Amino acid sequence: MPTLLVIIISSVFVNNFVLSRFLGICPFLGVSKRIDTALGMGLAVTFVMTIASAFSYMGYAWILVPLKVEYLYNIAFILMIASLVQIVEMVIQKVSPTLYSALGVYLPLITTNCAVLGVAVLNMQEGYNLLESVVNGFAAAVGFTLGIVLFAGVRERIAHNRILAAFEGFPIALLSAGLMAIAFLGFQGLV
Amino acid sequence: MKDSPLRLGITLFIIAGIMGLILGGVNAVTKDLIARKIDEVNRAAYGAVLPGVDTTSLESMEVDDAYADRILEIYQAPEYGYAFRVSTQGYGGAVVIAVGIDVSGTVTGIQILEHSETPGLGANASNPSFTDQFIGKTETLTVVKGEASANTISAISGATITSRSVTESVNTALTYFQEILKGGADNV
Amino acid sequence: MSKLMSGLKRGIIEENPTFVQVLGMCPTLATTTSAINGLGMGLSVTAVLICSNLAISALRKVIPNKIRIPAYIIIIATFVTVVDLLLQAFFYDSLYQALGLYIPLIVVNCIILGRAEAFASKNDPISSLFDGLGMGLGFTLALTVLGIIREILGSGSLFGIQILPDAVTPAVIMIMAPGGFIVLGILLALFNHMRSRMTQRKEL
Repeated sequence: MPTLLVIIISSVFVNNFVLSRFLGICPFLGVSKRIDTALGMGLAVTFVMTIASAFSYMGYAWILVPLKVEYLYNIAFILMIASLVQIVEMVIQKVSPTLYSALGVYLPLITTNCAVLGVAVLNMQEGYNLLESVVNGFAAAVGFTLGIVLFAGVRERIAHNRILAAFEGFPIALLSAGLMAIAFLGFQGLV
Repeated sequence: MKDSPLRLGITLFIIAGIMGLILGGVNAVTKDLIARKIDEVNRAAYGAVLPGVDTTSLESMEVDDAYADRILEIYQAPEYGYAFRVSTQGYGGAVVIAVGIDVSGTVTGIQILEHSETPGLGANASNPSFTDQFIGKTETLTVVKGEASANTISAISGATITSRSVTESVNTALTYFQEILKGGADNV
Repeated sequence: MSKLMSGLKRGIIEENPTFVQVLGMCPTLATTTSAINGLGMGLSVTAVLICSNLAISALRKVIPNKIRIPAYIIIIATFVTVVDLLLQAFFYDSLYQALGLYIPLIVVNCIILGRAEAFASKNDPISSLFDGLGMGLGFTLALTVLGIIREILGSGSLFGIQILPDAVTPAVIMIMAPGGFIVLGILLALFNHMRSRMTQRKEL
């Protein structure tokens, strides 16, 4: 079992969820045109991923395993995530209508964000306990936020450049992401 | 009322129930197959590091708590030796290997089971030119960059960290044998 | 027959999930380190797509609108788990190990939920089946092409067979994370270019 520090450094830098593990690419490409929306999405995802890690661990270890129905983990996790996102959406709507109008469209997208389900499945596969799962969920989300905000910064700059017609939009975004991924390769060997 | 919460809930419950039945059925059919497959793959790996052993004779052993974070499994082949499943942090993540040690404390073989090392560099640890070096070793090993000798292992060029990780796993297995298992074997 | 043809044409060319709709990016980038992995993932997704489209279309009049998303999720997740168990049982050494984490992640592949919402919930089962087949094959085609390119450039092989001579060292970065982004970016640009040329010609 790696220490908590190793888990954090691994999930934020070495195995960055978006630039190394390819989890959370859809929002990464879709919501990263501006830094403030990217940050908002990142924070929402961090909140959901941390709580989802906790609940998926509890559901798996305290319900599925004792009943010997581990193979139902996929359905259990995704339903839990969908419900969680629904609840978060309702809470934000009540508590802060301004935040809701800024993020509203993106919240349902978190359900299909591979990073959320991905971290829950990873925690299960690595056999982390409750604390390690929650820390990993939080660190993975921080890594995702880091990636998406950095990327938004790059894309804001590119928006002012002239680009070949064929590369406009997704292609140039992907190439930029590729260059960022090369930079993050430098973290390998850190832990 | 068509859309009453009760009716919605019941419909969802029925759908979940039908899907659950389908899943339960597929699971019942595949469960034994999968368990056997996993056992087969494990035994094949352990058999590869203990050449000549009858893989059906392998029996699982309890791992001493002090080593439980590194040694994941130990299988004993009676009168023959032991197969260890050891994990050590490598370059890109944990590197899990199988180590075979016979009753005289000599390494009979190693095999890389899982890794996230760089293709073309650390991933070459799986090549026999690297893994065969470990056969016949009995003492704690160190990694060197040049030619290997009695108690040293020649590192893969460009993949020192991976080489060290594998070597450390082998050392862990050797230490476990010498401190915990050897006593038992002597008493047999 | 025409339903089959329109489903295939739509999924493979007109609304190709990868090149046109740009959906399902996570497995596209992650599982295309080799041609066989891309092919395997594509076929697995196709299997789930066909089953879920068929099931959801068959039940479309029975599922109340308010709970349709949870219902779709339950149905899709069931078929993904079935594919997961079958791969574990019959392809444990090869495809299951290679695709790893991304098999259970098929359930959040936007393509599947997207087709359920956009098509299967509004059309008859046979059309939905062909729609799932078309979209799945389009996805499979994209992943296999991507996998072939990355495998040749990054490992020097094709479907496991070495084709680049030993003297040529492959660009390992192609089968690592950055390679996925870069190759897909270039392919998308090529696709955009071809499409704009075709629309230009149509206007002449």
